[in-house]
Amino acid sequence: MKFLQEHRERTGTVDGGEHIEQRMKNAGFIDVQRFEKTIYYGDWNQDEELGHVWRETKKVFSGTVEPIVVSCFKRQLPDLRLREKFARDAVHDFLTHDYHLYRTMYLPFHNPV
Amino acid sequence: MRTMWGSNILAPISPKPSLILDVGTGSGSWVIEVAGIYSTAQVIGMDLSPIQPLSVPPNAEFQVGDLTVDLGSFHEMSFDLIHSRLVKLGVLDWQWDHYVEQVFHLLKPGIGWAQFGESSQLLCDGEPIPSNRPLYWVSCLWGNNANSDSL
Repeated sequence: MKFLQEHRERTGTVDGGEHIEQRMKNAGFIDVQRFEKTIYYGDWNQDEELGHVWRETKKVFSGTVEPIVVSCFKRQLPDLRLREKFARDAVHDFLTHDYHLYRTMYLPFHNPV
Repeated sequence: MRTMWGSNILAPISPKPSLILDVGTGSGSWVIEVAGIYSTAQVIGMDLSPIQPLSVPPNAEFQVGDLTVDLGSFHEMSFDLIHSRLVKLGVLDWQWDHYVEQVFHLLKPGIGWAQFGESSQLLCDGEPIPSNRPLYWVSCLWGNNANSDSL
């Protein structure tokens, strides 16, 4: 898994949405508000509204993960067919309810001074 | 966005906005829906990839652009709303401050609004994902071991 750590260090991406709130304040935004909602990936969650969100998110995830995986794993999986299978398996894992996957969505906003 | 939050726009923008920008528009669905709601506004969607549909409302348009370099091509203080969503894979940690500052300067003073939709890392609180599974690798690629929350 060393290459994954290297990828993180090379790209320097930052996760979540909490950090944006402070950056907005630093930029001059006032009274920044932040909404949060947790999405449960799978029907193990019984909430009807969140279940609808999950079903919509599933489409987005399935459509997003394959091109990302195929582009990021070229070095580790040079064979295109193997990369495509890997991507399909990742989507299959994503749909496995036993993992109880979830993610928190953030929506900070406010107007400028 | 609409499915999750109940509306494409949570910020209380002017009922008759003139210019709206969607940064990282992706499929362009947000732009098309908002253009349909706000017929007075020109709604622009920007993304690295030109994957948006060609048939769009007359007040909607798409531009290919990199948010880390191309926001400077827009006029300052011109937008009623700038919507940014899930751009975390394209904006590095050291670029975020400059990005938010640019958004700030592009908004109309006093009436312009910004909303940034982002997500946390993928987590699980059920059975741990085996480390030989593709999703384990993908979650690490996105910045975390999804199992960390359950350990």
